[in-house]
Amino acid sequence: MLRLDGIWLEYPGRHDGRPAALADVTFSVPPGGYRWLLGPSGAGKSSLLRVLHLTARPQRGRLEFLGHDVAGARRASLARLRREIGMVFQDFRLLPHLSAYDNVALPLRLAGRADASIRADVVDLLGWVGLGSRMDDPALSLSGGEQQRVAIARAVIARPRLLLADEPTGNLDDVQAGRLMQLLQEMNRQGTTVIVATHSLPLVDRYPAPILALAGGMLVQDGG
Amino acid sequence: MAADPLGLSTAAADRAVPWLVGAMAFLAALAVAGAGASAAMAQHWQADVAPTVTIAVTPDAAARTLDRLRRIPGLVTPHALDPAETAALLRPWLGDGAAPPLMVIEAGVTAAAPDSAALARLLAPDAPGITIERNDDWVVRLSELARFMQAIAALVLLLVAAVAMGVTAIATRGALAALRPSIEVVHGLGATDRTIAGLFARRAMRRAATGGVAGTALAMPVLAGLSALAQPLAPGGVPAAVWAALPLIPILSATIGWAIAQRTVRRWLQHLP
Repeated sequence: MLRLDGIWLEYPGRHDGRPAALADVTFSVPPGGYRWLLGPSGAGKSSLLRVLHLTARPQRGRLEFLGHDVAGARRASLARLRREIGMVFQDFRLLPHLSAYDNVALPLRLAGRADASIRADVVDLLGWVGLGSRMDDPALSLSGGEQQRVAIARAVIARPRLLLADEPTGNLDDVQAGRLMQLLQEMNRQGTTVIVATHSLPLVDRYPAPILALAGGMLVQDGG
Repeated sequence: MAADPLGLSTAAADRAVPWLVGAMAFLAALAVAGAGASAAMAQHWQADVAPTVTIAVTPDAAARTLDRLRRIPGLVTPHALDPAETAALLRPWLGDGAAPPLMVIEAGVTAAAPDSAALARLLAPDAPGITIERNDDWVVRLSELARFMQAIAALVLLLVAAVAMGVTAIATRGALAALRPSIEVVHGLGATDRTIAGLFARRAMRRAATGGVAGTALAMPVLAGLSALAQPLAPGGVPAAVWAALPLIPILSATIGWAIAQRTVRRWLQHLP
């Protein structure tokens, strides 16, 4: 499903004394795998997630996703691969002028599904994350926790083959965090590959899975 | 797709586009009408004004000059104008009772006729100091003027189109900068360049079309007024073909808006992975 070999990522114009955001990162995750991504702030977790989300192109190394050599792929072909990936951002990244419903519906619309066929799926999922009564509200009018739940619903609505999450429970209370973890586990059981970056060791203890640990842009533990 | 997933309607960068495109469309309509009217005017003069030569001679040389003119090929029915008629024509300048100092001879002109300078040389032995005026000389000059005005109109159209392109490109780049976070999100969700460029292009097309329609509509009463004023010079005024071409201006404006937005956005998106 996912294979990284010698991935090297530098940000142009960044001069913080570090050689690279990611240096020679190599690991693989089989289809249906689940990984925790750990490391202190600045270790390169978000950079690795961006590479996996195909929104940052490494300068060196080989990235294989769903059998495609992404590093050598034409730019135009990446959009289709991105639609196979769900991403929960730490800062939500909702489209502020759209309603919660339209934010969640967007991946399905981009995949070409007609509005009439997506309504039931979107309404069900927003109901599941506890936002059934607020689906028509603008995203900006929602609280941080509610926005996080909309972001999670948007990431999973299209049933992606790979689900990436950057601190997905950071803005959720214990009940919602538990529900989210159950959702991730359930999706993983159904075959979705899941990689979750977190600082929360109690969460890792409660839901044991192989660990990928980063430090200074280098992979220092590959529990897979 | 939500009607406006990127929030293009919230971007201030393109608010001025309909106004500026409208002003350009107004100028384009005037340029098109100017080109059409001057072409029609030149055609009218060439078709309706029979070429003649008018020769002013002293009364004592009139008979000799007429005799000589009848033997020059290309001149048709040379005849002296009635002195009373000439006096009437000159009355505003000479006053009542003054006899005209010169006789006026008029002749039709065909292609075989000599030009004014050659004619003057032929007539010089019989009538020194004569004045020769061919009306097709100024018809030719007016035709040249009309062609020049058409060239200027074409240049104005090109400039107007270039300004409309520039305005659209600048507005699109402004909107791209303002909406970058939203574009990155949509790009990350798997939107193709075609999808994102299409969103920008459709909005640019609508706004340019709005400006184009308004500018052209505003130009119509101005053209109708000019057409009425120009009636004595060009019967029929602004030609029907010009009125028929005016609806092309909003269509062209919309096409420019769409094409420039597509090109600008697709180039910008190359910076994203």
